[in-house]
Amino acid sequence: MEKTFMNPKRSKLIRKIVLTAIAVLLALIALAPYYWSILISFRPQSEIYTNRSWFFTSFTFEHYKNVFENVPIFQYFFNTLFLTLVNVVTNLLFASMAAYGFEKLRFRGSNVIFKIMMTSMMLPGIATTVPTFLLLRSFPLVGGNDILGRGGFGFIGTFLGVLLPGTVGVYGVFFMRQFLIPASSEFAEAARIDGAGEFRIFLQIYMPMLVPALLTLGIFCFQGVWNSYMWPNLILQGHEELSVLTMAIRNYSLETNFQYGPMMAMSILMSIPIIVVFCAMQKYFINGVAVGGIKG
Amino acid sequence: MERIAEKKKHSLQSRLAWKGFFFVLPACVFFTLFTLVPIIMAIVLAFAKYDGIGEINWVGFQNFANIFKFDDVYKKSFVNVAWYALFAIPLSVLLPLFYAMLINADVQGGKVFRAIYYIPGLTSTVAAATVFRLVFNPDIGVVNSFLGLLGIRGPQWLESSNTAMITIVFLTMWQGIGGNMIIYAAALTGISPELYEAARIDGASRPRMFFKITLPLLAPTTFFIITMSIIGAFQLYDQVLVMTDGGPANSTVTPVYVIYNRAFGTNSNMGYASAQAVLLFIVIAFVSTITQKFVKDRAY
Repeated sequence: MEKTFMNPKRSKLIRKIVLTAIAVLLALIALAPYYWSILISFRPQSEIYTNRSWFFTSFTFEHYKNVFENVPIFQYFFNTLFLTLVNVVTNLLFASMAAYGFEKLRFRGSNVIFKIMMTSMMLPGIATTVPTFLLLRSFPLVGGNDILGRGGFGFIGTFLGVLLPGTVGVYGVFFMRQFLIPASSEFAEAARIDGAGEFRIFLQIYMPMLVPALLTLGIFCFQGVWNSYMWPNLILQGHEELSVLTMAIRNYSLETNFQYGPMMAMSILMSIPIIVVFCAMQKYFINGVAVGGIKG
Repeated sequence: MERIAEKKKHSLQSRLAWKGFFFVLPACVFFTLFTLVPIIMAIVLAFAKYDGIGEINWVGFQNFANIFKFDDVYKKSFVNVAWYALFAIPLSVLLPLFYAMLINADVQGGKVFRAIYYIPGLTSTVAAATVFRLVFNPDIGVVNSFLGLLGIRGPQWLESSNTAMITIVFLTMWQGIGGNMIIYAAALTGISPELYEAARIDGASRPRMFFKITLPLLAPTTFFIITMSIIGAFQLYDQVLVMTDGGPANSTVTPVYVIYNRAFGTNSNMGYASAQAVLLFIVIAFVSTITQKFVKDRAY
């Protein structure tokens, strides 16, 4: 009798301990590459290939010092931050405006336009990379180009070249629309009868309702641009002073006498901002991923 | 009276329609300029020879013919993607599902674990791949160091064409588990507990409940994750660029890697690269349609 009474409780406890142990193990696996790169970034150059210890048996700042002295890391940091923030702002503004137009102010053909946009999400990015590059290079009347887009470099080698194609993403329009569908139109109609302008209705009535969605989309956009490599590298390569962090890491790894120490130091420095943003806004990250999965 | 109201409503509607157009205008302009126009340009360029500087020469279907006849590297890139997908797609369903069930079970500090599992996905692929070059370094990497503790001599990972693609799978799994885990966790909390309760009363075992309730109800989520993983597999680039630069012996070249180098590398031919890109799009569209048919027939 006593045995059957004790067992479920005890087996529940055992279950909990086992599951938590597995969770800890998986966490160690997830964090191991970070730990290893931090370990190497603080290990003296002379020991990197000889010291096989898994622990901080010796400690140096030489790699970090090396990075700060030899790489204009602050310049790259601010370049990356600038590009990221501008793209976040344009995406949030234009995506929510478009979503509002598509959802709350439907017009003839709006559904067709929306469907065409959504279909384009299937397109591999590389399919438009080459023509977009040519388009930006031959943009009329910029970067030394004449009216036919000949003679100069257009937007190549400029921040605008990096920013323009990413001004507003199709996924953002879709994402914001999902949040506008359930929003009630009552207040907007009342305001319209009172003669409020449509843009004011959008800004003052709908935008406040969309704050959580805007934060989520903003975070995704931030992460995407902050971490991007191929496009900024294509547009900015050869323009040292405009480089972004991913380019700096990649370029360093291409140097003939590259060392793991400074490379790990740079990778860690680059990852810190995005992890800080995540920790501060975890809720919006998690909700955003979940919503994307369920509604996508 | 009613008709006036109707008319008024109608004119309000049409005014709103105009305003709606202005709201979508910026997005439409950028979409046209940087998606629609480039798509058309890509299709047109696919029939040309163009090195990016000189003249554009129209060559008809020659680019496509050359790809099918001679382009072994481009064909190899699809074989590589297939190898990658063979490991990566089952894993990107099974691992996140396991992780999600784990954090949804009553584990102490589930939210902290959830955050830790998600963090690798935040790191830039370039930075993460750089770190993984170290992790898989045969001399100073943690993987071979760990295998050494078990008395196993680890392989040359990145320098061997047998193992290089596996390291790419490890990298994308390490980065991708967290996101898919959250999608599964959300789907799992959406399953009504009453179903499990009813099954328990009927005396169903845990594995039986998993296969008869959990898996079928998660089918749409699984379908979503499989589709996204397939599309992702075709678009690998940053990972292979940093980890292996396509090598050794082209064992890790991917379609995007080949196309990019053809367009912007030495011996540039943007027309040929566009033809490759058009084919890539056709393959992706074809494979996603097949999966859709195949998975949907079973799932619903």
